[in-house]
Amino acid sequence: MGNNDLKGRTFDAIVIGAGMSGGWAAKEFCEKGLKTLVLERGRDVKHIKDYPTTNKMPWEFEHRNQIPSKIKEENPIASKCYNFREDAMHFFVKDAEHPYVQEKPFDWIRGYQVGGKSILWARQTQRWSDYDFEGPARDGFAVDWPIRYKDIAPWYSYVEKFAGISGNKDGLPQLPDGEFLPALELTAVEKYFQSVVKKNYKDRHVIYARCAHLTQPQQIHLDQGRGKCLHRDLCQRGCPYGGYYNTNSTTIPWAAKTGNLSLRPFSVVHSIIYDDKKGQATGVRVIDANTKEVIDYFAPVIFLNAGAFNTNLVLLNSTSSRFPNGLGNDNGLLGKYVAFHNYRGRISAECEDFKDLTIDGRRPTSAYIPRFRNVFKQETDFLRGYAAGFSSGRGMFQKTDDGIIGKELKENLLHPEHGSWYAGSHIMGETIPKESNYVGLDASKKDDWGIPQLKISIDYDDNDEKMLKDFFEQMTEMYTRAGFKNIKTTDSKQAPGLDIHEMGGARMGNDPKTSLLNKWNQLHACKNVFVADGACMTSTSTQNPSLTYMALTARAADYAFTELTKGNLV
Amino acid sequence: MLLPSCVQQDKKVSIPLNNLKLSSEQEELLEQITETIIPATDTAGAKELGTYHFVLTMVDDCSEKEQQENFMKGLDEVNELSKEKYNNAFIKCTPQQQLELLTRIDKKEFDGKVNEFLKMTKGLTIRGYTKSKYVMSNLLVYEIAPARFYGSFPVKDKTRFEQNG
Repeated sequence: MGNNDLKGRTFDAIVIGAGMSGGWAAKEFCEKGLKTLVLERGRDVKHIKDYPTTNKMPWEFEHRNQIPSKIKEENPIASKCYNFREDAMHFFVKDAEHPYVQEKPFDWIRGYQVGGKSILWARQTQRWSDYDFEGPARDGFAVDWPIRYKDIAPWYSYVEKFAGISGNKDGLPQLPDGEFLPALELTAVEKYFQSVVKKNYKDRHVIYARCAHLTQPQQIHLDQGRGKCLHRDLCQRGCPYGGYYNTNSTTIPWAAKTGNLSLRPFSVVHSIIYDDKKGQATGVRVIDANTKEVIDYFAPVIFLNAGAFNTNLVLLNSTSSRFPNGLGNDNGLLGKYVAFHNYRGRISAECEDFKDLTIDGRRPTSAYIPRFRNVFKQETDFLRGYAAGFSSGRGMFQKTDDGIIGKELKENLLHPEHGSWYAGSHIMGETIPKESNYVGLDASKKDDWGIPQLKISIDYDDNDEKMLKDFFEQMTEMYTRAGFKNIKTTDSKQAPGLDIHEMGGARMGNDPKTSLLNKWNQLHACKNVFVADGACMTSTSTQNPSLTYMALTARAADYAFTELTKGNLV
Repeated sequence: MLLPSCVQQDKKVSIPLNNLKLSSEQEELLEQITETIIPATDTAGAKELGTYHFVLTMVDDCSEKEQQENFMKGLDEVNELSKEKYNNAFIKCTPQQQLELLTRIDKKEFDGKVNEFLKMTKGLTIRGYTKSKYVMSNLLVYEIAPARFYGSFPVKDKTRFEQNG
């Protein structure tokens, strides 16, 4: 399609990014009858067909899933991610292909393809509550969120029903219940720990982590062509049954089915085109990833879902005489107040009881400890708090000690023994968005498409260190009360980024002087551009954020459609 | 073109390697070492499963240059030790002598790179064996889709060993 075909380049809506949240914008618009162009900078990944490793047996991986040294050396950043292994490395951006500038160490993990990182995510889907949305206002940081739980609750339900979320109704005000499919089992030790915590602490809970797995598919899931989760626990390869939620198996094919979707892979977005005379955005400038041809596409409404930091990059690179510092950036705050989740702390231990029990089969999720610090009131010398993943199981081991060789070794390998129960937990800490944590455009370095490289300047602060210390202290106390043995805490000292929960830069707020987006995820200063991916986040709270991005995007798309129909976006 | 069989002096089928260089004697030595670590019994051993190919692939692709050098040095040291102790190259020793020597090396009774060599080789032989198609299909059966999870399963009813994918 060349630049001379204006009609062929004009749509009712353009969505930038075909990942976790962009898929939702595509689905909503296509279902509402809008001719929708979805731009994806990477390749297409078709459900099942493009999961090359999905049915491979362990012995079919040449290095039994280990990454060869050469690939590791070539990808010092991506190879830090737990999922960057032989079976899933093809879904990760390779370091050399997409460089960025680290003013401070930041491990930026990316997946440039249709489906984005939704193919690789950990599938954890916890709702926010008003204890999260009211955080900044109560504790005096960032700005007040322009929405509350009641604004997003129906959209959480809407998204959950379509995606399929497994969970228990736990009745916790700090972690609202949703539309749940049946939960999977907790282990004997997880249940025991749950009871110990309940007995010893009024406001602490161990629950089954809500996750995007079809434990009992409903008609809507069968209509998507998805089936029950079969506990392969190989989700990162893409699931041949659609047992977990990813964009490729759900929103994108759903949108395509309407006949209204035009999906254009290999489309690197240069900028959003702003028309100074019309006073609105008119389209998107794309560079074909392969041919480098520059093509402009047009639509009356544009959704930017490029992934938190790339969304910032696109806005910063969208300059015009009206917006010399980036689209919608009248207050100079674009790219600032970014934040993430602190994932540095781990605690492990053994439980010597329940010797007559073990686990059987596999489970693609774990237990979860919702935030218990500073929830109902400020009670520590640090702001906010942390949630924790919690998981326990019982492994089997084969005795291979020094000196055991030959027949004895072989016997031991073929007759594994039961080990102790282990109990592991990791921190998911809220970090406080600050002006000094920011992303921006590098003044000189560009990528292969001539677009300025993103420079990232983000660091931990004293609040994060105090919170980490508290996690170690509190979890050690809880583990000790449970009688766990061999308790070990580890600070991975990992740089920000590896949590893959980077957020903010184009935050929502009520006041255009201090925020970029209004309560509908609409740029205050450019009404027909919406941002509903991680870039919109005013604060981070502790929950895994994808569910919230999906709900915000569906909500924003509904609003944008109504406004478009009323003629309010021009 | 047909080649007379005497042209094929290397009877071993070598796998392509990027970094390691082995003679056919060294390959044969490594093969016998893996067989000594996991011998054939009423079920297949490392030799029949070609486990030494996996060991070589892993050392070649997944270890650092220094480890590769130590691996090669240590491999030769096994032969030197067997000549010293039994007056014979390792592959000419009796299976009992081979087992005795590797057991003593594994107990760290000797100095040299042979320790690092055997640590790598034993670990990789175990991994290559337990993650072979043969073992994962017949002995420690791998289920790609277990379709179940029980969190409180009686140990007495447990018959399966779950290996990771």
